[in-house]
Amino acid sequence: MKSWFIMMGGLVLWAVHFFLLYLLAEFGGSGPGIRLAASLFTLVILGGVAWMFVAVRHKTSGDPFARWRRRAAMLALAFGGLGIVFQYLPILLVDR
Amino acid sequence: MRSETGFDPALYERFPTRHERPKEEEEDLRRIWCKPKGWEYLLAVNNNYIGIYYLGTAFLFFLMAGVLALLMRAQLAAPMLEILPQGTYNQVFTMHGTVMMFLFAVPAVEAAGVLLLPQMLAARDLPFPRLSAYAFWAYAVGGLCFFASIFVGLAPDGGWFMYPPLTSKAYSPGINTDFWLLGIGFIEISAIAGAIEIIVGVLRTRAPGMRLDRMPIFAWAMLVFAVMIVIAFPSIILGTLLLEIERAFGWPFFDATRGGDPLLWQHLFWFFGHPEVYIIFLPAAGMMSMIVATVAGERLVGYRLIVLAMIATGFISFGVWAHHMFTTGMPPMTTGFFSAASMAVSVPAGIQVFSWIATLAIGKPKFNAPGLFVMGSIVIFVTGGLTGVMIAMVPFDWQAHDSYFIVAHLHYVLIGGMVFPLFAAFYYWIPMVSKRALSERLAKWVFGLMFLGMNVAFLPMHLAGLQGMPRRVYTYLPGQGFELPNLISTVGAFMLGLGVLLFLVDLARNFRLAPGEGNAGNVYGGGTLEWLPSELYSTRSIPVVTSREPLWDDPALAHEVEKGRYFLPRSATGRRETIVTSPLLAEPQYLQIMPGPSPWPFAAAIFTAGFFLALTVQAYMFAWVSGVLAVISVLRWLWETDRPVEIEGVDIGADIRVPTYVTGPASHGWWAMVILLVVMGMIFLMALFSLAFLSSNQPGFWRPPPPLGEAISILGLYAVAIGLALTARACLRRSPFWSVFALLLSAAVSSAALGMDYVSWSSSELGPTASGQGAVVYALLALQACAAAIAILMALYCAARAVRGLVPQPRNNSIDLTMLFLVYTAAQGVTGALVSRLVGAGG
Amino acid sequence: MTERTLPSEGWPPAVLDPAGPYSEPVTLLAWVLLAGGTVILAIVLGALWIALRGSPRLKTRLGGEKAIWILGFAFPSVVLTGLLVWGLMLTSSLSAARVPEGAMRVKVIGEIWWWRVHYQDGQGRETLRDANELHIPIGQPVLLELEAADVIHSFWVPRLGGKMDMIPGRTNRLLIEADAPGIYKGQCAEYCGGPHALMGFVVVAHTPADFARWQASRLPSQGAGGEGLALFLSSGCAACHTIRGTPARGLAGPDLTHVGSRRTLGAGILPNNPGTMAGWVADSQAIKPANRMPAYHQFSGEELQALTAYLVSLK
Repeated sequence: MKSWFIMMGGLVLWAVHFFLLYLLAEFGGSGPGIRLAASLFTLVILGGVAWMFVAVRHKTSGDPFARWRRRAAMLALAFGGLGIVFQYLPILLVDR
Repeated sequence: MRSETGFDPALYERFPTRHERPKEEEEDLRRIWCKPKGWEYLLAVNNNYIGIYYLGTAFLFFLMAGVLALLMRAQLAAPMLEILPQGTYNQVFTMHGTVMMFLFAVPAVEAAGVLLLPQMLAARDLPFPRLSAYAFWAYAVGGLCFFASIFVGLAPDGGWFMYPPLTSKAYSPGINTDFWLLGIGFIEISAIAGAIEIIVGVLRTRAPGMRLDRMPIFAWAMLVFAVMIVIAFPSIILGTLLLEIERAFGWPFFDATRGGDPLLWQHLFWFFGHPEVYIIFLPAAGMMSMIVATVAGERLVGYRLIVLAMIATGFISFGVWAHHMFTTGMPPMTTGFFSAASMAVSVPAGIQVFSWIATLAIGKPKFNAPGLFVMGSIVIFVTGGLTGVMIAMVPFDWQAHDSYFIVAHLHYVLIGGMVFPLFAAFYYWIPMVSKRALSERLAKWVFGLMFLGMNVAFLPMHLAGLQGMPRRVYTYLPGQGFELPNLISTVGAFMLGLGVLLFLVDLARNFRLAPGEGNAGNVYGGGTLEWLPSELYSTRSIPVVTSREPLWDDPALAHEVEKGRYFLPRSATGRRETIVTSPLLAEPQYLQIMPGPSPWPFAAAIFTAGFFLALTVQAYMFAWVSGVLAVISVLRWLWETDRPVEIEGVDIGADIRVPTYVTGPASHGWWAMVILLVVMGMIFLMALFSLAFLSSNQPGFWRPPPPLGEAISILGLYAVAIGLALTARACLRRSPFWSVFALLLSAAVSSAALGMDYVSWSSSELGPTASGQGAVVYALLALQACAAAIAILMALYCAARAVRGLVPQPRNNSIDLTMLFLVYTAAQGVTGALVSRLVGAGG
Repeated sequence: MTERTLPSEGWPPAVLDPAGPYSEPVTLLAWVLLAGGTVILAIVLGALWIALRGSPRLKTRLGGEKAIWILGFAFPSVVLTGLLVWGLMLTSSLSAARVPEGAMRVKVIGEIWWWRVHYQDGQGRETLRDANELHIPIGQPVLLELEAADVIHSFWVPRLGGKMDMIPGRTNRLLIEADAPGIYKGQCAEYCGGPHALMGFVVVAHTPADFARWQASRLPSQGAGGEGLALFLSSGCAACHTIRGTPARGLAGPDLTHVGSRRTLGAGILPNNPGTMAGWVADSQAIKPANRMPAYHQFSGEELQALTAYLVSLK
């Protein structure tokens, strides 16, 4: 499980972020309170991405699979990070 | 991580072994994995047979749905034609979409997985051969009967998306819609069965040493595919179930006049429906990646990028479902989320495309048949991808949605992303199963006609859409400028059809199927394990994998494998078997003994299909008999499995010994059960979402649920049930009878808790037909009743096994799996009892 | 009349030929997307060409992970971010979540397979009932309240704005506006069974003065109905149709008070003249199979003529 989480961490964070934002909007609407909550949550998630990035980057274990897993993790963080930023734009730009 | 399971990788150094293997070993293998004779072909479970049956049937559906498409194009060639009457046309377009998506695309890629994966992973078979056989037969029999409905005018006519209220009893009183709902039922079953098979197969039956980072891309693709099925299909399973219940019993899930909501269906449908597109695309992309490397004669550039791109696609595709609903009046901010995810999901697709181009660039690409289809696919798919970005933009989609622009887009994506790769795959892999390869000369014509025909047919549809031509129209009025684009489209469609026809001619001339009697061999020079010499038992021995293209890196490998110098050069127990390896590093863990041919999966499939079809035509008596027989057949097929093994540990080559029977989380059965529980959990989760969705969209119909306090005793009972189930596993060490007794008791307690829950709701005067709330609450109870019934059945099955002395101590897989199911059942019951009382409790 | 031309005949395509402020920005977006898409397709084709036939130097450049990162990740990310921002801002400004001051209000209800139109005043009170034709003044935004009586339909006039679904149990809102007088073709865009293909309508945009004249002319039927009206009342027509000013009060079908002045018959599918009117009454099932109006084969030639003459006179 640990290996999978390292490899897909960025995407798992994207999923958590996406579904929470969707559920907030579906059941909470688009008022200022919801937007604030979504913004704070986005910050936390982006913090998570940054933390994972640092943690994965600084690991130096040597065997080939672990190395591959780490580089895969960086990619997942890139995809996930981009997705999370995209996901946040509607909160900023769409007024209802 | 040097080792995952404690296995010493240094042991791999012992291979290839030096000694000559005895001749009898090979004869034994041939005898054990023998060819079926006569009617035994129906009972075959080996992937070499099931894979071919599966693929052939899927292709048959492709052809039939293609003929439907040509009928539609004929009707639309000019305005106000009357080739197909309105009602027939509506059935034809519904069937075209449904058959292409459900009966061709998903089964075709699943079939490719069944056929190719064991060879690529050098396993002797997939881990649950009988499940494969069952999945295939249920699909084939059910699918063909379903298709036949068009010949008697009973085919569904509500569109492949089946939006209520058009498909509700009020507006579709005939049984056409029921054909769709129940027809899709067994396709769902076979998809889930296939997904379980593929996940466990890819993660647990790889050749030793085939670490995740050495796995063929196709296996990665199939892994992501199967996981996506497990997450996405439950939504449509629930949706079809609810709609059928609404039609049959009047529970108003989607009826806005009674507290339901038609939009709930759209959410349930598209939460499945859009991932479905990627479910189809990813395996095809995996094939592309394999073929591109061979066509270029070079290793794939960006292997890691492609793997992660596929995983990212798998994730993000679950955030795009509502882009089919931009015009439903969703709040603008919410549409923004789905627009953003729809944009994000195109990034991984771009990565894959440029990886393929990069691979072609470093190699010396050959313009052979697979090469042509690969290149054509890239062009078509990119075009469809770009129009995909266009319609991901909400304001543009307001115009394009439900117009012919979308028809053009989706055909570019699906033909470029799935059909062309599949044809490339046909040309590429047919030499693996046929004695002769297909004709390269004819292939150029097939490709030319299909490529040109495809573009001529679908490019003008973009224009028709922008001119304002809506989708799903059986005709159009003259004078709107639709005539010319439609006529051109029709010409193109027939060109495409001609290309496919030519392919059939080629198949008839050159395709000579004979599993186990030799094949055309590695004509394109692929580097992965499916090109090892193989027979019905797969390869003579199972190689140690040290790279991604073992055949390119070790030219002697094929010879050594055939000489039996690697793992498992014989049948160690005299039965069908394969090596189960660890999920990350593929270290050998144990020897799985596999079931052989049996009439029972076939019987179970026939009765399952019979059950659904009889329900559709309202032959209830026949349906119940058939259903019971299906259950009996499944139990009968299981009865022969999970038997005590006399030999405890065996030598799988070079004195490496592994056990033959493993229980607990390491066993392949445990994995399959956990995946099944994820499926059930997702179904339940979607039902809970339905409840919350209705409470927020139809608050006027909401009644306060029974007080939470009433749930306390229910929770208590479920907790007892969980405790009993866990005890059952622990006390098997003492006695099988105590263990079975605990299982039975746990099932009984769970049922009692459900009974209390039911009484609590029924005394609250909220009936299932009263409102959307009532309908969903009773649907939750019904789902729980299903789980409880299966739990009882499983406990009784274990009891029967115990009586017959088939439950060896101290650990037994049948007991373990029943325990897992019972724990799940109680956990689901607790969740349902709590959430149904919490949703809308405040208001 | 103030009508300019016949509905666009497919060229330029309606979506690319906007006629109001709610469709124009989308047309610009569409052109940018089409052009951008073509350029990107050309880039991909160029790259594929280089990979297959290019010089070794170019091939080496293309054949590495760096090229994949640039072409497959960095470039799309930048382009998509730009597009997403534009798309979101446009979504925000075009959506009917914010209604401009002074918008005219009309409720349109989708039925199988025609449109009920209820004009409203500023307070949302119903002022006039009509069917299958929507009259609007130019230069004034129109807020449509879209509902469905039976199954899901979708309201779409490509030259005036995007489409919006009409869903049972909900009221969706859509803004449209026309810049110039004229007739704009509309069509149901959501598959609604049976003759969904033949569920059209027209929007007629007038200058404000003409619009006022049109409004003033919407009076109850005054004319002596004679034999035509008698037939209408005795043959069952009145069970489904209303003609204000007469005893005909049916609600199931379109209001026919001004049917003679409509541009089309059968919900946007036939031109309106005595010939088509007679044909529709006698056998609408042959023209629009499965529609809810039965064929009236029982009328004799003279009866049909009288009935038609009466209906055509309902201006």
